[in-house]
Amino acid sequence: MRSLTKNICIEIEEYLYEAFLNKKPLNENILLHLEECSSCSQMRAELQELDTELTPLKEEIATPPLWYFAKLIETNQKDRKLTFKESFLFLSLGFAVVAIAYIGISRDMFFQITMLSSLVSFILIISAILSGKESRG
Amino acid sequence: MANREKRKFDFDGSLLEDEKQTFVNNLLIERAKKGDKEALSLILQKNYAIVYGYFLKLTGQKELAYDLTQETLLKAIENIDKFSGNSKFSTWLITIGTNLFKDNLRREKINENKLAKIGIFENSTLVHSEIEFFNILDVLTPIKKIPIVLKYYYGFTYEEIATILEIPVGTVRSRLHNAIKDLRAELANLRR
Repeated sequence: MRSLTKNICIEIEEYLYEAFLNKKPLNENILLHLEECSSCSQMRAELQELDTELTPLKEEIATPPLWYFAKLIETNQKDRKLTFKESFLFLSLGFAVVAIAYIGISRDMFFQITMLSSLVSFILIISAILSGKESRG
Repeated sequence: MANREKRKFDFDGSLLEDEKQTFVNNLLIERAKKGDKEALSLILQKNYAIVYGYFLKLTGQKELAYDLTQETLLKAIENIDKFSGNSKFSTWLITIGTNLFKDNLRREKINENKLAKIGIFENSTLVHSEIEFFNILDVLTPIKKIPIVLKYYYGFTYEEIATILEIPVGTVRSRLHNAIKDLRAELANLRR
């Protein structure tokens, strides 16, 4: 008989914890048991006290103004790492300029090659800027 | 009859209000994902208090809570295009925040023993009830503190907490029950 009561008390403990966590009222059967069982009734009193202790935190959270969040977004975008596409375009630019300069010097076409390399550099820079803008939004 | 009409009106009214809020939030998120900075700022501002309050409860330190909130928001800005919309935006932020908090604990950036004890008792602006609040909650290890804060203060379901913490639902339940046992014991100690 005693072990049966103990089992019921274990179940009541689980039930009281769930009611505490979910902030639900107790049902009539449980209330009846609490009236008869001093240890469960004690447990309920402790949980009510715990509830009071956990509740009184006064949170006066001052939400920052909108510009704070805009600044965060801006900071994030400044610190952003280069995307693969951007890295590829910048590397291509370097290789293209060196390659064109090499060909130009080896074939004695300095003026034409200078013009061509400038044009390629210009196109690649514009592409990199556009790609950056696209991924930054 | 009049009462019935009124109830129906209230019910419809609140329903419409909820739907309106959800619609506005979804619209803001969609625009934010497309690169609208104003929309992103607005949705972050709307959720700031939730994230800051969460960290304040976990750490008990205003400065640390502020830093972690900022880190969480930066992470959210960086990954906004990855937000699927399967959960609430606030749940997504809490998930990011929880992972950051756990990472910080792992790196020992936050010394568990220092939490609350230094931050709270040296902070003279906190009233007695606040000190006691953090003192009681601080008896919990982060493993138990995170689920209790998520459940007790934010009303997350066991399934949601399990998803956030990447643990089984049964583990969430046992951690919560163990946390309550610890809190009861601490309360008994304080009353002696």
